[in-house]
Amino acid sequence: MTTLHHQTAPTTPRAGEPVMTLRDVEKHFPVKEGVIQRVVGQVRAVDGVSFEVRRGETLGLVGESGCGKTTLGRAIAGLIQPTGGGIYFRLGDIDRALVDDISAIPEADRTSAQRDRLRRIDSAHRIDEMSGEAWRTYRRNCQMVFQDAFSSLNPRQLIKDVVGRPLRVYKEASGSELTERVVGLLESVGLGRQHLYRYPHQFSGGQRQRVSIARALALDPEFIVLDEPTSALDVSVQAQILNLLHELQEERGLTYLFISHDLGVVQLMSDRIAVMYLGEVVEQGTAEELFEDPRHPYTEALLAANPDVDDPDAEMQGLEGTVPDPANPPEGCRFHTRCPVATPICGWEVDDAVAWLNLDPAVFESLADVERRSNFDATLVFGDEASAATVTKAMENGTVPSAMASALEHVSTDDNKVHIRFADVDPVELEDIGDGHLTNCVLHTSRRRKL
Amino acid sequence: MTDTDSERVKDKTGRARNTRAGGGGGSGDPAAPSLTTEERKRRDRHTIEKAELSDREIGGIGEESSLWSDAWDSLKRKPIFLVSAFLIAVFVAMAVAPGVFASIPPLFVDQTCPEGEGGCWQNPQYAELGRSAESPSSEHWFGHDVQGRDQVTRVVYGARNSLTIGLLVAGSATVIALLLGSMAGYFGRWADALLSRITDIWFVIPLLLAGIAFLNIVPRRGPLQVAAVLTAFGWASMMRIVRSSVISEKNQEYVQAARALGAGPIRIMFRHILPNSLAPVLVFTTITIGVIIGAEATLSFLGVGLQLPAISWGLMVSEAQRRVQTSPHLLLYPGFFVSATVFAFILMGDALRDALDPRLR
Repeated sequence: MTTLHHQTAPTTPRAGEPVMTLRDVEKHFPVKEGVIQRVVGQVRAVDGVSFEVRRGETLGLVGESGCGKTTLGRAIAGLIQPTGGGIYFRLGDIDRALVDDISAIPEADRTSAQRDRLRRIDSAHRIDEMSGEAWRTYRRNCQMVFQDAFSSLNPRQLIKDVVGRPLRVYKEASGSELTERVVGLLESVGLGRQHLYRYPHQFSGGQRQRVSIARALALDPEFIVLDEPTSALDVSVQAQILNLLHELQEERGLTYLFISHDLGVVQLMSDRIAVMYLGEVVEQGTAEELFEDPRHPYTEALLAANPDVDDPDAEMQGLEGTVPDPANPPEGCRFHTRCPVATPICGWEVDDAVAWLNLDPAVFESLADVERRSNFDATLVFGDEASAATVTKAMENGTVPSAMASALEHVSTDDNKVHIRFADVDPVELEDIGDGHLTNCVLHTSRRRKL
Repeated sequence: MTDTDSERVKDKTGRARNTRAGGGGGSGDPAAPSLTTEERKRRDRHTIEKAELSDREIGGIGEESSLWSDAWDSLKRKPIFLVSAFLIAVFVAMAVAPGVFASIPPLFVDQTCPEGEGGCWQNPQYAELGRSAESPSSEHWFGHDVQGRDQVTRVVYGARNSLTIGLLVAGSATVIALLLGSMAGYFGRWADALLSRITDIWFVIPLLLAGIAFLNIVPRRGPLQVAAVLTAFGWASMMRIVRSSVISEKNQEYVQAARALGAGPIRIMFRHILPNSLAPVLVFTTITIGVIIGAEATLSFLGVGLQLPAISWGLMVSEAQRRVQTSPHLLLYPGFFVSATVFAFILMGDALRDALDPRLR
């Protein structure tokens, strides 16, 4: 994504070199059907995400369930292979600029020198193409703490083995030295020597999460993916764990990717925040900016849905509608189907018209077929002419949402058929609106001119 | 209630503020609405600290130990395990050294040798047709079989074939099931598709039918031949159990965590997945021992199992079936030993499963 180029200036005083760099990362899961498991579609769990996580900072990743944040976290931790794009570890600024420049050139037009360059960078930094040595370095330096503290510890291993195994595997320590190292790790997370020879089931949820953290710290990593590390815990224990994570970050200079759906927790933990919706990052900025001055209606909606502690009487405003099918995401801005301030150029398409018809059961019942020529151009075939006439009239006199009505370029009736065509919409990209605050909402970006 | 009270006494500032806010009256009610949010937080924090502290105090510093030595420690104290281990030891002793076992006096009251060398009651093939199907007596505790042979001796000598077939088949079927099931479950995709379809094909062949068909063409049927055929057709359902429990463990987060720490597939398989998916398999294996001893009996009854003059509990049971109404003791004693063996192994399986799972210990 070329719009990200100029976003290289450190955004917080603590930020340093990028530890993880993501470029157009995609993870599509095939949808299979039938006896022979034919692939009938792709669930786009993560669909073109680019950002950097810089040394010493915490990047918060928020979004509703199913927006792809956990999938992205696992891809970054190297647990699943992305289906597209690149995840780079310790990619310096010069190399990153090179990757971006070369990636912008179509594959066929690259010179052999450029390809060579890219291959060398990939084998040193790109986690799915790394050489063995680089992979081991990355593996040691990138750890993950999981959401479920109950299933993330092997029930048949003693705490000493859970935490000490990685040290033994990497031949870091053995015998009594190993035991002392494990004790040290346990103490750093608020546990102690007396917990060495216990099994995970003898611990409470909070203590288990501490063990998970100790295990993640065992190899002294640089970067930790925290996948909702506190959402399965009581509020009071949550606070302890968050404080612990904070302290560890200070002491060890850790870099975190903090994944959560809880805005309050993310605000507390993060230096910068990226908001995800349907596999895409829709807004990104420093924690203060994002909370004080959100520049995307989805972020605003999330903030409004967050219970306000200071004003318990304030009515919470939840988002209406459901998250669209990630196998068939909406055109344009993916949020336009639920957006309260949608504009005509947000990506209205045939699916929106059909969804709107669904509101009137009688009319929807008589809809026999949708002949699509593209996502923007289709013929709605009705069972009777009356329904077709009603629909045409509704579309012309503005009963449909006004933003959708203005996006309609063409409506015509042909007996029981209604031809509709929406204006084509360009793909929506993140844009910097100042100081590294990125959003893809038309209301806040250069595309506003087109309105 | 008392707990909360003592908490507040300890927390001096909280206590002081509480009495002031509460206006002195009704200070005994811990849920008094006069607590401010601040005070409530303080109290909660205090409770948590105390809870963690008390948890740390429980149980001193443990000894270096492993899963197996822990399991052994807990097994030693389990009556179920001790009883089943004793029974199994007795049966195994019978199987290993029936001759020695058959000369223990209290069991074999009538140690006479009416026909001299080889013609003792302690010879399982020595028969006196005149005593055919004779009921149990103080001299011959289990009575005589149809041929007039001593049933105590027959039962003791039958243990070897029955146990050999039962253990051999259950053991080797488990090994096959573990191999194929863990491969199918762990690697998934085409490996799973291929192995599972093959298992499905095996699955639809009934064990006994396959036994009849294949043992019929084996010229000499000893315990090894019977065991081989039963193994070949007895592993399918166990493989499905292994496969499903491997799949369910594979997706657990601790396996993901091990991968994130750089563990390879072999380490993950043997350190993490197999130990955790072994429990259901172990239970099924012990049940299989009983089923196989029964299957051997059925095959022998149908004439395709062990061949006479071989002795096995299954053969004895199948012979007894023709005379159940007139001489129930023919069925009772070998039947009892089959049941007791199966029972002992099932108990052992249960005890092992519990001991190997720290959560159940």
